[in-house]
Amino acid sequence: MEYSSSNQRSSLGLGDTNDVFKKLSQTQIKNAYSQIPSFSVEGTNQSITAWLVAKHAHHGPDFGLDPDKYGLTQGDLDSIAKNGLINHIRFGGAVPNEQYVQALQKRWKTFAEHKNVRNCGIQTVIGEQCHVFKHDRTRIFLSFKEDSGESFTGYQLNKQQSLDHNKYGIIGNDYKN
Amino acid sequence: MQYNKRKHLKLLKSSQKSEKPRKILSDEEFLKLLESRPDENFFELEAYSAMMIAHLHWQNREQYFELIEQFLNGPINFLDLRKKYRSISDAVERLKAELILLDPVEPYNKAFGFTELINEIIMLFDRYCPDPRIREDYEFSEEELKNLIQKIFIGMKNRYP
Repeated sequence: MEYSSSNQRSSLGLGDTNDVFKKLSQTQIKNAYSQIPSFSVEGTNQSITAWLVAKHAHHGPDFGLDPDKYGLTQGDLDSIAKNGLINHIRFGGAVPNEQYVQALQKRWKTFAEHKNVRNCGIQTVIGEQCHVFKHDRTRIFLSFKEDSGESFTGYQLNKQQSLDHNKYGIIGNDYKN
Repeated sequence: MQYNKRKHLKLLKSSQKSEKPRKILSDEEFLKLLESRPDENFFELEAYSAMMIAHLHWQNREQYFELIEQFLNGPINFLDLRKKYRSISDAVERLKAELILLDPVEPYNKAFGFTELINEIIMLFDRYCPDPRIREDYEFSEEELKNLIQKIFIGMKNRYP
């Protein structure tokens, strides 16, 4: 479907506006995103699911995406970061549409498959055992859960975080265990 | 590693420019970005830059403390904290672009570790999930998050008066 601002929310399978979307349960919202196909990473068992990408929609600009092009503002992304995707939608915030989610899935796939992206192996990312990929020049990383192969999170580390990651092989402390 | 202003300046003059963060890119431009590789001085330059940034964060610790106190005593809102962090980091990048360097030699030991703790707090918000029905194992409730930040904050105030 060709993107336009007037139909930006119509392609998630529920066919409607924010007003309808915000009344859905979290399971229905998750199911709506699950209708968008996953992207697989060539030569691995790793997959980039639409649901997890949507949950991390606020990291899109770290991968060069322009939220405005997809009907989202920086304010929407800040709200997703602050409130989580479900609450952002329940509060009436703009829904990250299929085009935005697919564009971010595509960027993550391109990133994971690129020859200059370093395979860091299994590392802890905010307490989860993940397969981590990192591009040293830009300090962008992407992680996949070790057990399921499902994409977890990815964004641009700041300089100190990147240096610490290079030194210790960990991203974020594990405060749960 | 000790900060060496003369070496930092020399590296800045001779090395590749830093990539601008969060720049809008087409698919082709994104691919081109991934083609870029660190040159031989990249990691040393990054380390010096991180020291300069760390120094400036520490010098602004009072403002950070105020922001942390605000969300410990009120609704969860980490955006101001993240904005402050980015503003300071961006300010250092702008100074560097003009080859204006701060000299963090003497107070650097005092500042050591401060930025890491601010980073920890910012990263914790990525694990905040207010809704228990959809909270993952690795995510925190508001109460858990505030308790953790309170602990970090008490340590920070003692260590960086």
